[in-house]
Amino acid sequence: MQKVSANQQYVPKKADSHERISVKTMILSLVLLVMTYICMALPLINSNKLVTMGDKLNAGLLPKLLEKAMNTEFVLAVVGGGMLLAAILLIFDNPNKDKKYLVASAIMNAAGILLILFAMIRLGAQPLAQGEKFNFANAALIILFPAALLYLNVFQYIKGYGKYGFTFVLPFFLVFAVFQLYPIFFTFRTSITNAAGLGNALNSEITGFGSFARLFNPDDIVFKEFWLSLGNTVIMWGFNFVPQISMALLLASWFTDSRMRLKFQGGFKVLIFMPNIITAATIGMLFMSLFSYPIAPVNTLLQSMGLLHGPFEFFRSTAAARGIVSFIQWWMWYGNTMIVMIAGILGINPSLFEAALVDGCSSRQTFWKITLPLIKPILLYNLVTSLVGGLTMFDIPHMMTQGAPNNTTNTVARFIYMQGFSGGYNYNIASAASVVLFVIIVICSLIMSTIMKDREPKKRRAIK
Amino acid sequence: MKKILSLVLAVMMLVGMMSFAGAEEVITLNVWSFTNELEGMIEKYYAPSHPNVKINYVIYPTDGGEYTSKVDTVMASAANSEEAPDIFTLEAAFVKKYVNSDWTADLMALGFTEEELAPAIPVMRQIGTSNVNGQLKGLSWQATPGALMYRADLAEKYLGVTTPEEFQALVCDWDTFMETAAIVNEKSEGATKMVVGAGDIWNAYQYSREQGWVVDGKLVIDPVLYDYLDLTKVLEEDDLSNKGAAWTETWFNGMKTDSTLCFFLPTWGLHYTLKPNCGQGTSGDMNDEQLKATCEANGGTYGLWKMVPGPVGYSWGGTWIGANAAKVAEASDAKKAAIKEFIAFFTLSEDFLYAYAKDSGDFVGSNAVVEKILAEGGTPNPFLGGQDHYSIFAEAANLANGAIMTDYDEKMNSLWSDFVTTPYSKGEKDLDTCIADFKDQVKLAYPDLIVE
Repeated sequence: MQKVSANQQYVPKKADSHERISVKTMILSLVLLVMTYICMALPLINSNKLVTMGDKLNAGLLPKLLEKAMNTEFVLAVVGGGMLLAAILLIFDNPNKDKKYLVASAIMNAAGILLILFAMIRLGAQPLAQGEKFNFANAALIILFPAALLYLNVFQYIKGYGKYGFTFVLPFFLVFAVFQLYPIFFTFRTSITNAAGLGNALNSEITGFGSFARLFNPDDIVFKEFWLSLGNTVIMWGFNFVPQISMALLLASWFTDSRMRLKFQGGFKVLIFMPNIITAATIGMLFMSLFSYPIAPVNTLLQSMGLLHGPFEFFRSTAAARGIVSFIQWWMWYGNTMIVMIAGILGINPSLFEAALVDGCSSRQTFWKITLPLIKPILLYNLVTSLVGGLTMFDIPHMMTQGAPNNTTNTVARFIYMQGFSGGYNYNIASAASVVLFVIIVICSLIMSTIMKDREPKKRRAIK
Repeated sequence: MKKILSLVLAVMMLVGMMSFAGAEEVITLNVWSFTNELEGMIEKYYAPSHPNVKINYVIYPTDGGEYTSKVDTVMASAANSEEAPDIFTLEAAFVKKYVNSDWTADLMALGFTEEELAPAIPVMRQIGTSNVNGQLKGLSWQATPGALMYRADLAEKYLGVTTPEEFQALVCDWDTFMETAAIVNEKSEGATKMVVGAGDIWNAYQYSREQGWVVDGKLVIDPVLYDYLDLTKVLEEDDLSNKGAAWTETWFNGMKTDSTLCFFLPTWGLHYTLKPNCGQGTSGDMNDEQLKATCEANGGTYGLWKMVPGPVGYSWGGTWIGANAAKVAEASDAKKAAIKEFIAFFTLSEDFLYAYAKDSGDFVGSNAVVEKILAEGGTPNPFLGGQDHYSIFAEAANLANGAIMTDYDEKMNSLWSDFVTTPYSKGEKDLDTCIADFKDQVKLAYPDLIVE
């Protein structure tokens, strides 16, 4: 396959590299690169109806081309082209590992340098539009491309299979950075800006901690509503969590009890887990119609059973409305918790249960003395995930009660949503409330893990 | 071999890209909407007469605010990009938000003239006008005036009236309306109520106001709203309604059975809400004969309804067409003309609106076309026992005052209902507490609004 030719050139050797890069490959790559640029540029030129071919020639083709090239689509197209090319080379080109990486990275380097050049020209030539403080395209140009360049340069020097590993996990980190990490930082930033009003999320200035001040000023309505919603959330979460964990533990210990040998376990598990599969919004709508007023299934049923004399308006009673929300949360999640518990219990060494059986432990003793202490980490996991899920509770109250009556079923997440995406679009207050909620969740999680942590000092003794 | 393969791939790509070139001068308009209603109209009426315009129709549903968040995002970050809409449709719930923003283009600057706009039904034009600078930003192909649908048989039984004119006299204003409600409740011994609930009345009652929710950056609680609260309190305490909210089981039940006498419904409500729900087992897929047969078989109210303008002229719902200001500013004259022609075709063209009204039965937004249809004898509707709904809607349409609509309405209406009407009428809180809570909630939602 690989013909040795007189045109071959030596590249500086790396520690374990004995390969050379072929000039043919290099030329081919460059031709491909140029062709890719042309491919990407052509539709952009043709789509511009205002500039006819004659105009282009009169005004000089190159300035026009450059002008057209200074748009994001083109730059992104070039990145795409470069990536494609690198991929083609990696997959199809010559079999010598080091060489193909070198070529690929050389091309990516060239593309990257071009891109940064474009970015700088674009930034210099085209200042931000009036009133514009931030531009995603520019940010991407400035941050992403040098990062890609850096990665590819580093890539050459990673030895062994590690480089494949890094490459395969890279997409996750990129997606995470763009869609999770960046928004988190953006939320922190927004919380100290004056971002409010429709469409002004990006168009804002840093003005200080005014939004936080409102969240902690007892005379402010924002304070009242935020802490009220936090209280509601904790109440509704608590009334769901205690029964949820008890029920899950009970069912899990039954399902795993070797003496009970329950039949149709699979069927029961499916039935118990089922509510968790249905979308929360759907369940919210379902319960809203079940409990609505004055004509609705629950009201009709209770009246025909003689428990009620007239229709009862569930969603005008704080206790009933909160109770229904807690019930739904419990009903949706105890199956899930149970499955996790079963997994935890099955992970315990069976010889411990056998020993307990031999020693004549009752089922109750086995549960309290063996099962429970050994699934403590699982309990902690459940507690923390349930707490995070509970404090960010949104769909059920939003779909079912819309906070009624008098915002007593309003949750923090719903407060944030209503502040940020309705009325005056107070993005800054919504972000500040998100930050406070974030801090609260972190503190609660830390407290829980400290309480639940095994306090016995760890004995590290090598067993031989 | 592999090099050749990669070369071939690149060449294929090149050819693929080249094929985009060389298209002829066709103006492409991006149209964004939330249903396929306009798309169907484009295909049927617009496309045949406009071969030089290519419509790029994009639908985002309004569920969960998807449509508005898409529009907000693109308008805030890339309003002049190629993908951004040139034209977008706006629903009643959010039309004010957009016509009051800088995102929508001034239609007068696009070349509309007063003569052209003269036949547009005033309430729809008022709603499509910015409260900020008075520019006309949106126009509608339909008008959605509301009327009062009532059960003619029950009215005759309990009130002794046989014609719509006589019934209108019993609901000509809100005081008379409430007196009639009391009579209905008494005569029917509670079996039939005047309306389903206070929320039903609100859709019409809000048009009795003289001022919108916000005037010059200040919250305004129009004095007439206190009368509304008294009305809802009487309604609740004297048990004059079914105590249900709109779109609930109670509401639909009222359409099927004798439990409710009146519904405040607009044009679309007659065809798409009341009619498909007029009997047990009826649905929107049925035609008139099937509806009638189902009602006769299972029990229902087909043909028993009549309609009157009711206590106040009002409008409920509707769809407006607006243009993207950023794209209009950059557009060539030919494209501007195409955008103007698109909006004018759907909202003002008599030929189109007449053909569309004849085909669909929709109530169109041009008085000239409405008059033409009325002159031809209107639209006798078997569902209304042969009454002509067009003439009643035409009467109602020109009574409604769209100037009181603001972009705060959706939020304010829901706060007013949740924090004032409901707790006050149910006797949970006194009036002062309710109003104070309402003001607090308004401050919470709109920190910049002056609340006194």
